[in-house]
Amino acid sequence: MAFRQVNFEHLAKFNSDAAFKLISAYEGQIISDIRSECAKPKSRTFAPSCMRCDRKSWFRLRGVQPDIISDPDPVLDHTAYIGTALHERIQSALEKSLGEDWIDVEQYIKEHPIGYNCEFTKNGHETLIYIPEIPIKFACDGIVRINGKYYLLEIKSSEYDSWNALTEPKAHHMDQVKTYSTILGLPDVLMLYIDRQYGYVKTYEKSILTLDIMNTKDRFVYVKGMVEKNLAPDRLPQNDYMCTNCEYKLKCREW
Amino acid sequence: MKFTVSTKPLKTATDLVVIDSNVSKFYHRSILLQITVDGNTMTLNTEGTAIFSQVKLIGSAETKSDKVSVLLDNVLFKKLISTINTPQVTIDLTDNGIVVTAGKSTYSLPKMMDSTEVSLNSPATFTDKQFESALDMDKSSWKFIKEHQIYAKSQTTENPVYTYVWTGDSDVIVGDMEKSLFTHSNVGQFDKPCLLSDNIINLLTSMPDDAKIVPIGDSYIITVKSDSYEYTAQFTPKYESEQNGDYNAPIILDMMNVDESTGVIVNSDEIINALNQVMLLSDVKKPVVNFSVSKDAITIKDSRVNCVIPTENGYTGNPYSLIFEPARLKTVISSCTDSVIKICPTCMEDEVVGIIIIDKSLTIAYGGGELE
Repeated sequence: MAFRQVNFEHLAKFNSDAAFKLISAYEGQIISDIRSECAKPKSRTFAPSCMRCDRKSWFRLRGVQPDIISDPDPVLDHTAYIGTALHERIQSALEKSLGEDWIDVEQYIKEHPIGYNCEFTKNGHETLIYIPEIPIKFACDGIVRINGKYYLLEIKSSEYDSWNALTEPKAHHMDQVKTYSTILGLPDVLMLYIDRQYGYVKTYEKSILTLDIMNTKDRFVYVKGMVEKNLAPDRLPQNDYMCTNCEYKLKCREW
Repeated sequence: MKFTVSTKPLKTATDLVVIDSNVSKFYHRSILLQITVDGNTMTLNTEGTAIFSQVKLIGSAETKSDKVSVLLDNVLFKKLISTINTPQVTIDLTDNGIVVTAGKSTYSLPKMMDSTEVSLNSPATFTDKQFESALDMDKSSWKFIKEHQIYAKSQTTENPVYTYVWTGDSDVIVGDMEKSLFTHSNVGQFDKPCLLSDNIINLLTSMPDDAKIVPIGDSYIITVKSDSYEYTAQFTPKYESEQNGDYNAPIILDMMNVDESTGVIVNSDEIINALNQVMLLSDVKKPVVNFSVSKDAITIKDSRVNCVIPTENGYTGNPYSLIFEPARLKTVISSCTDSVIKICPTCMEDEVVGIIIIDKSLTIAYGGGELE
């Protein structure tokens, strides 16, 4: 191992007053956008992405405002932005390629009732679904038909190294997908992973077990019961990855 | 009436309302905790001298019934709750006391009194308008007073006004006229001059960092609202009056206002070390020490010890000597926040009668005795 000399020119983010003003204008706006996004009241619904943590679902259902973020994270925000753009690109390509086998989610649910009243909102190629009865709000990446079989499509983007190491879907992504499958009654899933750097993709087919579907339904009932009783469900084990960036990290310590 | 509540908020709430050091046999109500269950809310109330505290927790009542209340030994309840490690706890309020169920274990606590005979006071409420003038609690300031000043407070009732902490604007004075000892800092939070008891200082130092203080008439309301509990406490300071006495704060502040150029700069650890050596070798019950300041040194001397401590600057004034009790002088010097201190003489009619010790956040006036 050897030390390398610091190149100060590489460290500098600007080289003139105008360059500084431009960078300040951009970064200032991004941070302001993140802050106003964080300040928006959260919807009092389950979120499939946090179904692993009953405590987080409990905070959301009770309408608890997330902790005040003193330092917004532009890196995390950028990652989410790139992820959204990649989703749109994949969905657009699949729609063109699959034609009538790219299934309209709203139409599918109307033709295959799921037992709940749903409210739909189109957002590009995604369909936002709100089910007040559960209550839950989520975006379905798509439904596709391949070899005559319907699949729930779930798109995930990741860093190249993480993508390269994948041999099967990540466990925590499966927790999220189990929720979609449970609600939409679609046990067969195609998980598409794209790397954010080069755009390589991998796909995996998975089937959600009936036991998992029952467990997910039980969790809805359990968390709603704990909300009624004002009792906090157990938290995830200490140092769980979900806790690192959890917006309820401070409030969680109170319970 | 059974009420189930999450254990962690209950522990936090109990720690807030039961301050061990404020439980006193001289104020009988301070040993009590009143638990009241009304719907899905459990309220814990305690009282201290001039303090009413209350915390509200949400939980789940097994049955819907009228408000139920019970009075318990607060320290015992706090100790019991601190030992419970199940995520939830059920408290059954009965005619004889409470039965606490944690997991499969149960614990019975007898009632102390009948809640129909005694009911603890609740803090006053405040309006949104009154809340607009709320102060952010500066806990570090109150901790500073407790750690560096409160030792100087008078313990006797000869001059009861000096058994309190005096605060007004940013000035905080704690001292004792009989011991000729006064400490001063600028960490005060209350504009209106008032006298704070030990209990109130204990209360203020035990609050969470996000507490707010709302002035209401002659009282203050501390309020903390979190996701898991709502806490309020009302404390009523004493005020200088004919009955309570006058602290003479302007005179004390004026006395501490010395010309700092007359001071010697010295390392406080070296003085403490010398005082320890005096106490180690002394053969009398109440040793005294001769404290002398000359051109370039401080000398601490008794019959067996003669310690010369060089100063970090020169002293240009007239040399002086004073007599101190080494144990008390050690306590005074130890209360400084900095290891580098400045010691100035304080004079009365051109005669040195004491010292003023100055560090970056504290000023101490300490009167010495004369050489016989």
